[in-house]
This record gives sequence, structure tokens and C-alpha cells, in this order.
Amino acid sequence: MAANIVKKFKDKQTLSKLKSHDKEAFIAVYDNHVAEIYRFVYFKIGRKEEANDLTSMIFLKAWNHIQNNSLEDAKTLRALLYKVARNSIVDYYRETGSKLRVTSSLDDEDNRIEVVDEGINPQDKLDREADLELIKSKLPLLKEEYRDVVIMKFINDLTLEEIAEISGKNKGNVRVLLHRALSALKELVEGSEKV
Amino acid sequence: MTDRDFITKLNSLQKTAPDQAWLKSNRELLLTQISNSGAENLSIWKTLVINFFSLAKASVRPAYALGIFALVLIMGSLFGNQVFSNVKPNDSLYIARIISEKAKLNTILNSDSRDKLAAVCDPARAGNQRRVGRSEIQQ
Repeated sequence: MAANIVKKFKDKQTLSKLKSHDKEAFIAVYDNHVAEIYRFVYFKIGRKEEANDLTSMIFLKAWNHIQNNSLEDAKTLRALLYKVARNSIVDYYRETGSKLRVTSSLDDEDNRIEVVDEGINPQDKLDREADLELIKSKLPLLKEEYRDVVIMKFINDLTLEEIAEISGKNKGNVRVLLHRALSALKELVEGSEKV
Repeated sequence: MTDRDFITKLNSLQKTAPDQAWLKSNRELLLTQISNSGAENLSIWKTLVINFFSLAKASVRPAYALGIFALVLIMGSLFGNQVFSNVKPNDSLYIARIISEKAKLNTILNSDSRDKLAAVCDPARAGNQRRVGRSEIQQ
């Protein structure tokens, strides 16, 4: 219970400081969430440079949103970042004109992103990397809403409640969506392994 | 591949991280951008006020729950023996009567009043037990 109170206290404190235009609080939010927001954007749009630019823009938009709107509940801070991220990605799609760019590749050969693995023997590491590359290559082929929930739940470790809040669905719908998304991705990966 | 293996592999994509140099330069860039839009460092006084109100907001629910629990405990020990006074030894609520009587006895600070109440409660309980015992034998 004490840990819960401390967590609530920190959330309320961060939110109040943000509302009071505190730089340090914003940078703390940035430090805590930048990696996951970057991952979300990166796995959605598939390109490192654009993911960098969009992530930067998302934090700036979130800052402006917090200054201009009431954000009563601190737990919605993370949800707010994801909502801004989703809207920014939609804008990005609109500006680039087509989603074909997105589905082309997740990593360019000359622009790979490192997935850090420690303590695995070289053969296992190679197998695992091959599997991960396969999953990454199939992820863009998923339906938009499937890809969203897979990234949020399995890559960024959000709870069902958080995903429900971000996507505007109820928990039951999110659970069903997750199940379908996972089956669809698995099918794509296994289909490709058989070939 | 089982679902569990597949999820484990997906989980390992959590290790995908942005470039450290970019993280650092972007942090600086954001600081400059938000400084231009009115961000500042808070004064100690303002920080203290925020901390106070945040603590108050964070602890208001547990304090409320604790207050209700204490209220129920106090009201139960003060008035519980009146509510349960007609409960007989073979009723399921009899244990509640015993507890409330004990609680009532323990909340009376004056020893004379406590002795008087004990003198009323104990014979009443003994009488009830005798009556219940007799009725069971007759049955």
C-alpha cells in the first residue's frame, strides 16, 4: 500500500510540475518514455530517421497539449504520449501519401537497429536473430489495429487497461484483438518459414 | 513454435533502442524548444507547495478508507452489544455478541462501570447457555 501511495504521489507531482511549466519534470517524462515511444513509432513506420524525427515531434506536441489542456489523471500521461504518437503517425502517412512506404521494410540493410542480446551462445544467437528479423519483416504486413496492439502489448509491455484507454476500446475488445493479432502474425511468420 | 515461444521472441524486441547520441542531442533540442515556449525551473517554494498538494491528493483515499475502518470499529464496539443482545448461543452471530461485549468492556476506562457491565453480561450469557442446553435435552 505504501508503494502505491508513493507511486501516486510521484505521478501527481510530475503532473503538477508539468502544468507549472517545469523543465525538469518534462525531461524526466522524456527520459522515462522516449525509448518506448521511439519503439512504437519505429515498428509502426519502419524507418529509423523518420522514427527519430517523429518521436521528437511527439514529445513537443505532448508538452504543448499538457500546457493547453487539463490532464487530471496522471496515469493518462503515458496514454497521452501514445495518443499523440498515433495521431502523428496518421499525419505522417497522410503527408507521405501512401502506406506502401511503411510496408516496404523495417530495417534498411545499411541502417540496421541493434537488438542487444547478452549471454547466449553464437548459434542460438544467430537463430534468434533470424527469427527476430523474420518477425520484424512480417510485422508491417499486419492490419494497422493489429500492429498497434501487438507493439503496445508484447513489445512495449502496456497493460490491457492502458491499451484500451489509448485505442478507445474496452478491455474485452482489446483482448480479442490481441488474440487475433497474435494468430495473424504467427501465421505470417510460420507461412514464411515453411517456404 | 508455441504461442509462448512466439511471445518471448516478440518480447525480446523490447531491446530495440534508439541511438544514444540521438537521444542525447534530442534531449538538448527539446529542452531548448520548451524553454522557448515558457518552460522554467520551479522555485523551491513552488516545489514545496506542489509536493504538499501531491501528497495530500495521493493519500486522501487511503486516509478515507482508514477513517471509515476506524469508525466502524469504534461504532461496533460501542453499540454492537445492544444490536447483538438478543442473540442466543446456538446462533451464528453469537461470536459477534461475545466480541462486542469484550470490546465494550475494554473501551470502558472506569473500573466500577466495567465491573458493573461484566456483572450484567456474564450472568446473562450463562443464563442463555443454560436455557439453550435445556431445550436441546428436551428435544
